[in-house]
Amino acid sequence: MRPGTEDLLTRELAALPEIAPPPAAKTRVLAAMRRAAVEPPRRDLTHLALPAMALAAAAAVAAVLVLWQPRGVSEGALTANENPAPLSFEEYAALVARSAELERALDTLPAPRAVMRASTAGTIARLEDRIAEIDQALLFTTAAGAESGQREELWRDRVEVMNALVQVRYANSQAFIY
Amino acid sequence: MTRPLPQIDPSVLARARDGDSGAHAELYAAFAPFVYTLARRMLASTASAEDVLQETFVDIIRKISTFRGEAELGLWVRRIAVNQCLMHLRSAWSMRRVDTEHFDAEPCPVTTSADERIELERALETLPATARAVVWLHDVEGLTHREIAKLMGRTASFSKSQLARAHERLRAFLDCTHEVGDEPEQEPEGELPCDPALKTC
Repeated sequence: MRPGTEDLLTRELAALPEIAPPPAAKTRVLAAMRRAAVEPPRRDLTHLALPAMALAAAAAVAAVLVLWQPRGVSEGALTANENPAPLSFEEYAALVARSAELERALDTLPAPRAVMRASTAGTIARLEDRIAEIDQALLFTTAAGAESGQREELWRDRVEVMNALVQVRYANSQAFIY
Repeated sequence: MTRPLPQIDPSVLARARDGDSGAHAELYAAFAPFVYTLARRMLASTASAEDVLQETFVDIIRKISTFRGEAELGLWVRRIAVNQCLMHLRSAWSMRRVDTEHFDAEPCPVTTSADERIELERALETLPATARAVVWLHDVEGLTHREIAKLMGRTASFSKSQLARAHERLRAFLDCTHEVGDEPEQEPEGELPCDPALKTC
């Protein structure tokens, strides 16, 4: 290649052209700036030590709930996707209870930040959409009197997606507390 | 060598502080290419650079009331952008995707591109994330090893050794591509030499 001096390499690096952001980014960033401008100043939050600690404690409880596995349902029953064994009534009830528990955990988390990473917002939206789809399917299978295996599969999916949503929302709330 | 910092009328800053959306747009127009370039070069990912672009401007708006004008606005913006990039590199998601410390040997890339700029961009992208960040911050943004060390929570020696190894690797990559690119063109195999009499042209 060219002479191997570091000065030359440095000059060539510095001469690399500027990269324009994608045009679509402008609208998104300006909207985020507008939201940030009307958000309460973040410095105020750091001064609210006690409320912040209480919030952190609540979030930690939520995290524990996320990690806690429901009694009466084996881990395999929650994660198996291929030809899952039929669940007993107790296991099925535990799955439904676990879903409700995750709903409650979600409710204890602070509201999503008005401004967040585009990728995080996208993930949350996709997970919420998926939950809505599963709920629709559950309504349909119940009304249509579908096999219990189908409903079990949907409840398994719901628990998994809810779990993911709680984790993303929890991580988002942690980014808020500093 | 330091990349020139964008300049902006101080009145724009004052209006942006008051939440004027027109001033926000002017700030974006002035600094977005600067911030995006920094993020693209440091992170070597379009998606990550877009995230950093948004987070940097949001941070600017949140912290604009703390900017006293003691330093140049461009330096202040750059510090926010660099911090966002480093936070991105440290994030769990990013750590999962990139090896930030190790220089693993890679096969010599095969390219015949004559465009040295593209080769250099490609070479930069092959560096481990931390090394790439050090190279860009030192060679292009003009930060000292001490400043880089402070930003990364490391020592100046770490920054120096990362830079030296990154330069070595960049030179090796570029040597490699030039060796391939400098080869004389050969006749494609299987084709007859041009001979009007044989109608092979």
